[in-house]
Amino acid sequence: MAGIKMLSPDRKRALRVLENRLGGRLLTHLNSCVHCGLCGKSCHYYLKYGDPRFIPGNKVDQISRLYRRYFSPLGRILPAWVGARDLDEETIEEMVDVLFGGCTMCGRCSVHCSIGVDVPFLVRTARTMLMELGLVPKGLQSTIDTSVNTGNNMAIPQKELVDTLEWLEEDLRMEVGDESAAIPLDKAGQRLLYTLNPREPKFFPLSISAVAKIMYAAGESWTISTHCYDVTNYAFLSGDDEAARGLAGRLCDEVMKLKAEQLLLAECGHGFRAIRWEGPTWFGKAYPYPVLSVVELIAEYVRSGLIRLDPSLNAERVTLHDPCNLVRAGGVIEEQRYVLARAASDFVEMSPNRVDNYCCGGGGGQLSMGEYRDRRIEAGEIKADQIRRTGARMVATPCHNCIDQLMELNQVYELNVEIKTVAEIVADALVLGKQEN
Amino acid sequence: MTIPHWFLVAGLAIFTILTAGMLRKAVPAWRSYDPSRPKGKPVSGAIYSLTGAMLPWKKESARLYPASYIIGVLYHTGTFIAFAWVALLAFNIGLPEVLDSVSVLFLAVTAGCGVALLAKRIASSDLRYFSSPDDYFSNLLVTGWQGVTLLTLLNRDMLSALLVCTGVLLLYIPFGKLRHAIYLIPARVYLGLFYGRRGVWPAKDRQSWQA
Ligand code: SF4
Ligand code: SF4
Repeated sequence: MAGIKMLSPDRKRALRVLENRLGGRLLTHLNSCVHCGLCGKSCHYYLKYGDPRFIPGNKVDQISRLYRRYFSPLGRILPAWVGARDLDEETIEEMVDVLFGGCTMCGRCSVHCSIGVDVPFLVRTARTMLMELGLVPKGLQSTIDTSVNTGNNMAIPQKELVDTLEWLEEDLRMEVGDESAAIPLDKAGQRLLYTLNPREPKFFPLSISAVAKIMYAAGESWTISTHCYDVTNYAFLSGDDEAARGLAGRLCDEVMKLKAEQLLLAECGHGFRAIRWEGPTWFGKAYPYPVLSVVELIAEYVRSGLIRLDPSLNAERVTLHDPCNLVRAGGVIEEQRYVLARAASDFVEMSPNRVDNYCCGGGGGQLSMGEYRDRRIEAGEIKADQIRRTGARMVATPCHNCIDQLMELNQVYELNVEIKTVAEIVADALVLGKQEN
Repeated sequence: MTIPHWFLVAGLAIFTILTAGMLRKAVPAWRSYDPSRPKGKPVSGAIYSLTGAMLPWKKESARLYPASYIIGVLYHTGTFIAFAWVALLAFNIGLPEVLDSVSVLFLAVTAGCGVALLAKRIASSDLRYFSSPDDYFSNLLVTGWQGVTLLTLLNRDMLSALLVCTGVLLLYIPFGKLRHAIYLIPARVYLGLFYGRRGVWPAKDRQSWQA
């Protein structure tokens, strides 16, 4: 049985991650799980496979057994007695498979845990340990590296982005019949600095058009930075705090540089969570300006009468998928439903929904981890069934990650639905002309 | 004071010192761990976490497993009753006899619940998968101790055995799986602060955003 001193330097570093954070919240959750297994059916992986490896309590154990082995008195003396494990090859292999490949850090299990163990928090801490061991799955790591090195996770050159946005601006002018309609780029002193998910300029430009049209209708003062706009933060998902801080920090610097009053985040669940909620922890202080999701902004426009919607323009049945990081871990729960109920004439809820909603299966960085692709799609069957039961022809979701996963589920499970962002549905229902402001 | 009394006192003293040390590391960070601007009220989230969120119809761990939930609640209630009896018996405080009889019956049920939970752990391949000897032992220790409490209520000559058992239990709690008894409330508070700050807990009335 090896002690810490006998371990290789990278394994020692991994354990230092645990040791350095051993206080307060982490210490509490590491010591709380009672191995009751009653969280199994709250996790879409276990629901799909019925495999005990995927019981959230077992995911907790992946890290708590290391804590017990190296940092608890009984685990040091009698490791087998308390199920403590050495940080050896077998343990590490299981950790990678279960914590990267078998958990989306959706947090559904925590809400339903008999004790209140913060499972995704522990999973993320364990991912940080695996990151120290250089074991972040390749696809996820390369997405982070691309963001760090090029400024956005799809390595879109600035010129390509500018061309796309200018083309979208032309389209917007034609659509609203107003030559002054604009997508303002790099403009200082605006009220809002808006971010994008790089998938938007690359594959889904209509979601940018939708937001631009809504901003136009609301008469908003806004801008997009053409060199610092990426709302995603995959380093949050890999557990790499340093990279995550760096990525979030760039956006914060840009807000200051462009003297914007607020940072407005695109429809991206994990990006919202990382920047809005986790960023202050990485920086050790609150932002000096508000950070909000575009969904919150749109809801405010509707509520204040700044934009008007005609739900008959979206006559098909619409349902809503709640992105875990925006809803359960982000607190944006009612806004999107408030908006959709006014933008579509037949809006129906999935069951369960809101804080109880199931993950689509694409969260936690799964979409970038090709090695777990089959598992991601299979575990997504829970979501596909939820959608099918609503009878909806359109699924709205305020997250581009979820959109990608839902599109794949749509194909594989032949759901025959259209997947849209909330802004796209709102833009289709917009009534332009004199506003009630 | 007899030797078993002293053993119990020593066990209690060590338990108290260790527990205080553990809580001292776990609790004070609650004020400072998250500097983000709140959307909701962290303290309301923590209160909800300890109350509303624990209601059986709110949690799948209770809702989907009603038998396990009821058995678990009874079992833990038995532990509190047994502790109360240990305190009364150790100080030779008498209660009306009818309470003795009721407690005997109740402890028989709760110890039975402990056996049922142990049987479930042994029978379920899912639970066995991530259980350790500590999980089985912790159950046996608490169930056995409830049983000894019951026997002591029937026959006061068992008091010494009960005091020693209680001392052993108190000494073991901070070391094994039973330490969840120490961390349960902090865990729920931390989870509640997390969801409370983000405006997720207390679970809102569905239409509240529009108001
Ligand atoms: S329900 Fe909570 S305490 Fe029970 S096994 Fe799952 S994580 Fe652990
Ligand atoms: S966080 Fe989500 S995916 Fe991970 S164990 Fe919990 S329910 Fe399963």
